[in-house]
Amino acid sequence: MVSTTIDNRGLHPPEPMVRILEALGTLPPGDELRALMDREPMMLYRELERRAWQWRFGEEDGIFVLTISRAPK
Amino acid sequence: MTGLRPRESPPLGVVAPFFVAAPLGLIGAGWMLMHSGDDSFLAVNTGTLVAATHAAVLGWLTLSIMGVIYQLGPAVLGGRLVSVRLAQAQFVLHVASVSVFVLAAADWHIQIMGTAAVGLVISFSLFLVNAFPAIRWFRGGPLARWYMSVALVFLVATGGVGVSFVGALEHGWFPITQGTLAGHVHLGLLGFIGLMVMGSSYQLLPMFQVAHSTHPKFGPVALPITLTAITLGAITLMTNPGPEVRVVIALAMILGPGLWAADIVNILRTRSRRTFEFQGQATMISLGFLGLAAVLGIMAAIGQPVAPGEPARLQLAYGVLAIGGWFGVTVIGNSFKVVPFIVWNARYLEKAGTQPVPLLAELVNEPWRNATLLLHVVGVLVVASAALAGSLLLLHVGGFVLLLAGLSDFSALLFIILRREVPVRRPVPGVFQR
Repeated sequence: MVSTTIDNRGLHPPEPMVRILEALGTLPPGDELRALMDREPMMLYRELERRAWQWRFGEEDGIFVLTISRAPK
Repeated sequence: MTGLRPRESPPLGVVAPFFVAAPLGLIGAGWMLMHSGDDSFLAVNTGTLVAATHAAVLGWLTLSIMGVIYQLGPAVLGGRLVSVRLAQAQFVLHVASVSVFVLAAADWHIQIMGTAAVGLVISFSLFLVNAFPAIRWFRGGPLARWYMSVALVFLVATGGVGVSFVGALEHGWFPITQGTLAGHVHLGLLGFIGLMVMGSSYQLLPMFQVAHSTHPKFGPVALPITLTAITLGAITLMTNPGPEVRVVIALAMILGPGLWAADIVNILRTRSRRTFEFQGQATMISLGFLGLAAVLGIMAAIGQPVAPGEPARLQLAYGVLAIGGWFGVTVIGNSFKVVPFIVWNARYLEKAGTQPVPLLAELVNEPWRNATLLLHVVGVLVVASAALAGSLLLLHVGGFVLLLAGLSDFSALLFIILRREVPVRRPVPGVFQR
């Protein structure tokens, strides 16, 4: 599995969400997307759910990281 | 609740009219100030000043607040509207009632004011039917919900007192004194509008400024302090107390907003983005106006007029700085975030990720938006200076500048909503780290 990372820190809403959804559109099957965030993207979760992605949100070395991959069918 | 629920928002056509129609109130207030007479410095309850105040408060500020409640409630606070049609009917009734009330007040037609007041009572009642479940009234949770819940209680109290005033004018139930007027004004302005502004700022500022300080230090304390100060203060003011008591009330009323202001500065200090953009700038300007209003409020409480024979000059300046400065600048700052955001949710959320979509900044005409704020700030300062200097000419000029600010605000917000073709300037993010 290849992990692609985008840095969304310092961006105003809804740009982090737009960048994540755009990046997911080009994500090869089986890969995962890691997004560095300023905070938990509450508004994005509904969209990920609707578009059949699964995610986990956590903190790594003091940085919030959202990891997204295709939800199993 | 698993997060924000933008898809639960009412349709754009329901919420947007509240935000777009709101600046018409500012236009009305500016127009009334332009036509105010030389009695404006003698008493704050002259026809044109009552008309200007209610155009600004019931028209501009209240319509904006109603829009925020209808939008934030379902999308952010997890509530729901009882009926979208009810909200639409309430909008029409409110705009009509405020328009009639303001025009009647300008000519002091008490019977027509009474009829319009009935319309306003029905409008606010219909609003509350939707607003209570929209914000999930007093259900704990976010600080914004607590502030808004208490503010709605003060709205009911202010409405009750306001209706009794119309009855007093028509039937002579009781004399309307400076004290009873001050009690009513502070119930409405600090109790309803002030707490709504404070509560919505706790929600909107961290949300749009991406602030790291999401647990305000003073917010939970500032609310009970403000609630107590307004309740006891308004009741006491209605008994026409002496200057010593008025100063104590003024200091107590300032304490809560002062603590809130400290929280707001902290939220802005911990924002993630280094650039200090429009909403943050407007918020800081509004805090400056809050400080000025607090100083003049204390001076007005002391009751020493700035000029013999013209006792209303200080009160007028105080009112303009609080209504136009603190509340008004905050409303302008937030509306240029909220309106593009609801437009974005309605038109672009679905498309995001599948085709290029604009961001909020691209939906707004920035020079137009900045001109709106500049005109408004200049207008407020000119009107406040006119009151302090006792210059009727300057008061008319200030009214004209506020009218221009209202026109600019109205057209800039309408532009955001009506503009269908928005060029996407932002490059699609290409290569990422792998």
